[in-house]
Amino acid sequence: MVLGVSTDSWEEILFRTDRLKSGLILLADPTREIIDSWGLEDVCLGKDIARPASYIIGPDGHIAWRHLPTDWRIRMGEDEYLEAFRSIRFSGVSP
Amino acid sequence: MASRMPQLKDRLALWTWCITTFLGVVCLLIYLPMSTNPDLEALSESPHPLTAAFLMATVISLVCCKWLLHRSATTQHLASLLRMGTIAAVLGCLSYNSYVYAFSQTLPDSDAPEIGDLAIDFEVTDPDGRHCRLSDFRGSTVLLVFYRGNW
Repeated sequence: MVLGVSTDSWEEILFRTDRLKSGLILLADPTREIIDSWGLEDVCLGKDIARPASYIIGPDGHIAWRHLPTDWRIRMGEDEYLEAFRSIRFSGVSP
Repeated sequence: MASRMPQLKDRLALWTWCITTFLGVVCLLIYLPMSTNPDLEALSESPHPLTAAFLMATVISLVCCKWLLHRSATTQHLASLLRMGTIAAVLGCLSYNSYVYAFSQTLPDSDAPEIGDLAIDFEVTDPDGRHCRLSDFRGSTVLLVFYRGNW
C-alpha cells in the first residue's frame, strides 16, 4: 500500500489521482495536521510544505525504514523503494 | 553616422543573438510539455539551469524586439540586444542555482519519527466523505511518502 501526503488541496489531489491512474493513495493535508504531527514541516522560504520524507511502516505499525534527506533535492525513485523493501525482513509476513 | 556595411562584431552579435533566441525557443518547446507531465522523473531530469538561462535571454530579446519595432533597427540595436540577453541569461542561471543551493541545504533538525518508533496515526476525510486512517492498514506494509506538492 502506498500513501502520499502533501499540503495540496483535495481538489488538486483528486485531479492528479485521476490523471495518474495508479494504485497510489494521495491524501490532502492542507492544514498540515499530519505533516506537523510527524515533524516534517519545512518552512524554508515561508512555504509551509512537507519535507520530502519516505517511511516504510511494517504490518505491526512500527517504522521499519525511513528516508529523510537534509537536502530536498534528493528524492527516492522506484528502484530505491524496491531496494528498501528488499532490505527489510519482516518476520513471517510478506510485504 | 555608422557605416552602412555592418562591422564584423555587429554581425557576430546578430548571429549570437539569433542562436540564443533559437535555443531559448527550443528550451521552451521542450520544457512546456514536461511541466504538464505527471511523470516526476522526467521533470527532475530536465536541464533546469540552462533552460532558465535561455528562457530569460529569450524573453528579454523578444521584449526588446517589440520595442525595436517602433524604431529603425540597426545592428547596433541588435548588439545591445545581445548584451541584455547575455546578462539576463547569466543572471537567470546564477539566481536559479543560488536559489536551489541556498534553500536546499538549510533544513533544520527534525523531531520526525525514527526507525522502530510506532507510526503516528492520522485520519483524513476526502470531500466525498471517504475516510482514510493509517492504522486501518495494520497487517500490511505501508510506504508513506510526504511530498512537496504543487506538481
